[in-house]
Amino acid sequence: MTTIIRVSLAALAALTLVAFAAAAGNQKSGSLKQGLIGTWTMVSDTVDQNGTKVEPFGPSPLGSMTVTSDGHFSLVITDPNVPKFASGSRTGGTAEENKTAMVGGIGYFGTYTVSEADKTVHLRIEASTFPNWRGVDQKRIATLSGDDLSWTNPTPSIGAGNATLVWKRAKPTSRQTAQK
Amino acid sequence: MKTICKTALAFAAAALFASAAEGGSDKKGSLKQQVVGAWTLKSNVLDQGGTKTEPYGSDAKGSVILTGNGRVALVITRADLPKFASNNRTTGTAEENKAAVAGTIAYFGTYTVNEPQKQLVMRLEGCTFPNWSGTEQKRTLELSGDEMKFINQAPSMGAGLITVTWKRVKEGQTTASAAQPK
Repeated sequence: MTTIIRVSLAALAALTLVAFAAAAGNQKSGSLKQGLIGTWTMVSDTVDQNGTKVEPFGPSPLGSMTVTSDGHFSLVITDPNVPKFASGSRTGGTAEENKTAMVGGIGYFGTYTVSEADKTVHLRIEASTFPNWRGVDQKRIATLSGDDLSWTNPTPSIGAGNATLVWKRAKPTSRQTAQK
Repeated sequence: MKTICKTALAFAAAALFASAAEGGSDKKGSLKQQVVGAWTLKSNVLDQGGTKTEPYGSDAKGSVILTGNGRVALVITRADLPKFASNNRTTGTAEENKAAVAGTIAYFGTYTVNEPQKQLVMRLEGCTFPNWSGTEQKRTLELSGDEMKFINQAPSMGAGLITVTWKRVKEGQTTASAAQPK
């Protein structure tokens, strides 16, 4: 009887360990990749162009980045001050409406890998609302500190400069938005 | 000794249960549980009074990610949009801007699933189509294995009914390679 209990206990303990390990994913504890997984809410987006700082999506950008454990990511940033299209149709914008929408928004998705040694995230962008970013490889330098993530892009979509995106980890229950 | 064993067993069982619950507290087999994950676009068809078109072309590219904690991010684009000659998103010509805005959409926000009505209810926080920012968007859901359909009765291009078909992305696949040949 005692032997049966011991065997059962050992089996259960092993099963428990396996279940926990599986739930944690197969990334090393404390790795950058593991830290990036989840949903991030934009705090700020600033481009430094030779010392001149610009905010490409305005002073209060709305953005979200989702990084999955199986190597996918999706990112959307919009300027909430882009005026609505008078026609109510996305395909019926005036030249001015199309321009402000294009200037004030971006979305792209694809797959990613992480170089732990140089804190670099390699993005393979499959498609983007900015056509020039379709099917291209890009790099981001990620600096993670708890629930804060700084994401530097040396090749921003507005041309010259160095973009720094600051993200805050989205809380599971909050409906929106990161504190600025 | 027996008491210790029982206690240990109870702890182990509780730990196992907690570990299972980490995957979300949704009922097994619920629509909510089934929609969670990364999906790649298979097709996007607009039906306007029986006339069917593919508003993003026949080889449209798209991704939707629905997280276990209720967040959604979606991007759909035409595959054949001309690149901006300036290589700068903010300096497109009127033609380039028009093609890009008409040929793409991206949004993010939170979602819930209305199980009895089989509806995905999204609260969009930001959208590249400004009219949709801050709006609630409902999609009727059809799920069958690794395929999911969003049926939208108020598409962003105006009148009609749009059916977006998604395929679940398997681990290790790119979203592009998960798509079936059309």
